[in-house]
Amino acid sequence: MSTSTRNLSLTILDQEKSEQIHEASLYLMENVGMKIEGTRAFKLLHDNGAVTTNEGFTLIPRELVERALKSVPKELVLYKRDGEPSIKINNVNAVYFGTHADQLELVDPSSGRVRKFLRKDTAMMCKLADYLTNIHFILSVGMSADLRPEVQSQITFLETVKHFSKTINFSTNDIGALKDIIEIAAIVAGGLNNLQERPFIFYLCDPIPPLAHPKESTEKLYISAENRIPVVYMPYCMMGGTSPMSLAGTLAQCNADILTGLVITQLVSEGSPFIYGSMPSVFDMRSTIGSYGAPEFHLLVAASSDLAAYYGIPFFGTAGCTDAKVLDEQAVAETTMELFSTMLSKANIVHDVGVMDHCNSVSPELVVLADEIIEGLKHYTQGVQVNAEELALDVIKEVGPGGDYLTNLHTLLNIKKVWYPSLFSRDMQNINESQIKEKVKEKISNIMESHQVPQLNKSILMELEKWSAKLE
Amino acid sequence: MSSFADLAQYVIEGAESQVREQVKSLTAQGVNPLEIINQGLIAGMSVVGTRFKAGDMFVPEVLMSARAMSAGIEIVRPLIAETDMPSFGKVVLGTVKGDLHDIGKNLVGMLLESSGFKVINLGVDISPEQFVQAVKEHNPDIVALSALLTTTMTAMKETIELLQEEGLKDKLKIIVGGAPVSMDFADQIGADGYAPDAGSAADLCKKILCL
Repeated sequence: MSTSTRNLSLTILDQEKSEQIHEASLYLMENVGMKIEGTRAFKLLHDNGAVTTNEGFTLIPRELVERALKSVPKELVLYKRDGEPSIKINNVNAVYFGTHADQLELVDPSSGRVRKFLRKDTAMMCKLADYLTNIHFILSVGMSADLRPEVQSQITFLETVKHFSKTINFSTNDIGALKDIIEIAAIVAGGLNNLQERPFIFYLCDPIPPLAHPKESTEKLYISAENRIPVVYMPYCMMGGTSPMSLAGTLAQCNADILTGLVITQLVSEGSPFIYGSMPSVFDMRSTIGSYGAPEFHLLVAASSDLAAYYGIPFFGTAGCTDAKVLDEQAVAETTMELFSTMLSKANIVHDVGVMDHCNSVSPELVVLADEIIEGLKHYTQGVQVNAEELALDVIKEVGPGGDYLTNLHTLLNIKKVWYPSLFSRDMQNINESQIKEKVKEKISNIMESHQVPQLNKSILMELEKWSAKLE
Repeated sequence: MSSFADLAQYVIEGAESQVREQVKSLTAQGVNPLEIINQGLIAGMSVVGTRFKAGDMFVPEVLMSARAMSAGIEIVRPLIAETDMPSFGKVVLGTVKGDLHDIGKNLVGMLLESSGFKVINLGVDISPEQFVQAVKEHNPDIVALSALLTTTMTAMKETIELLQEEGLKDKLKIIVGGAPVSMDFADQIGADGYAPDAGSAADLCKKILCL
């Protein structure tokens, strides 16, 4: 199946519940307030009616939210590196997935061991993601162990843009790296104007819940909006730690944080593209981790996608990840549950596919498995069409009572409508040992040997080399 | 008749008001205040620590128990000479410069306190100079540095270097923690210890102080 269009959906928050949460978020913004740092965003908010209490909490009036919700674009197209449209967020309700270009650690497919993520591994992750049909974007973060922290984000982005031809999502360690990467991406796009018109990059930044937006965050929003680079603003909170120990309260707090980011971007530049991101996770009170595989987390991600849909804003979700450290039963169970949930939800752009060990590592093998799981689930989310052709009454009549469909032309013509897995087994006689892991490893080594990522043209590569030299 | 076992049980249950009553009743009976602490309050808290490690108690329950224990200690504190107060040591704790992440570091602080350490929590975005200042002021046994970002991990190194330059490093132990931090990194920057989570930070502190 080529597209990921969905013809069915699961509603966690209906209109009434969405309105209640919206009102609760506005209450928090108007009465509790936000900790806002960064002089430019602070001034902009105050010039437009926000006030700051004696305790230093900035109260944001609902008019600002309402204005921002009007001006924010409801549709969004993200492009491939060559300027071809790829990710289209509109009323067609498609869903797109992405993995990581780097991480703290790599679950090395050649050794099966977890080790530090190195600069060279980004090319491998990129090549893999470039090949897989259900992976539409990659997230470049800047965490490789063999890079200096001051240039981790920039160098990782340079490695990514050289080795990946689809859409690039990126986050940065600091404000300077964001500016650098916009410049680098503009070179690849043939100028900032081209980049703004056909963005092949989109940015990811976050507040620090609860209700705190430090200078780094507001400046990142400011610069993205100023440059009209699509930006995801995504609180990562943990129930019981950085959000209340209740589902609705956590949603209301996250939503208030996100709307604050939205207001800032729209005040900086009305109509600048904004993507609603939310990671309302669970603080595991036994181990003290923030869970990536908790069912409540993925319930709340799906619920947040309802809120984004209620506002008509594109949604950035999370799925295909696990708390497990190695590829085991838990890893596959959590990954599958999340992908199923997110594909039934209203999420549009979904990150963290292949992420393991509650976001310490990424596993190329899990990415390949997720690609297969997504492919299968697309055959579920297609839904059921009921019309004359699909009812096929003439075919049933032709075969008649007691007949069979095996030799009927209708069967022959429609066989391929059903999904046939490429990795999972449906053999009549299975051997006693699973062959899936071997197939996954083989697939990865085949991709590494034979897939060619389209090359950037020489003059662009030379410009990028100059950047590399300057940074190193 | 009040007993140490009852007192310990109330600490385990996090029942602050019962702990207070029990401690008052024991002191009224003329029981040695140090015994109340060691055989009642700390005994209860040590069960809590074991249960937490086994996954049978959750963080907020541990914190409730710690609060109950502290309430009991406050009642007997005036009856004991300051030098006789049992304490594992003093820890200066903070998130390093450029990093505003709070929760992990706070949790470490709370769990260290619940294990009997005195904790001075400096907050977030603490510069090497501020750590040095705090060490001079509080004379701690341990300095605990926290970072969540790969970029701010370098500030851990700078902090350790400044403590070294100021001639303070040899008088104390330095421990580091946070999502991107590893044992390798701790060794590399000359830290004395690394704990992967808040629960094991207390064990680490006891270990490096040979308690």
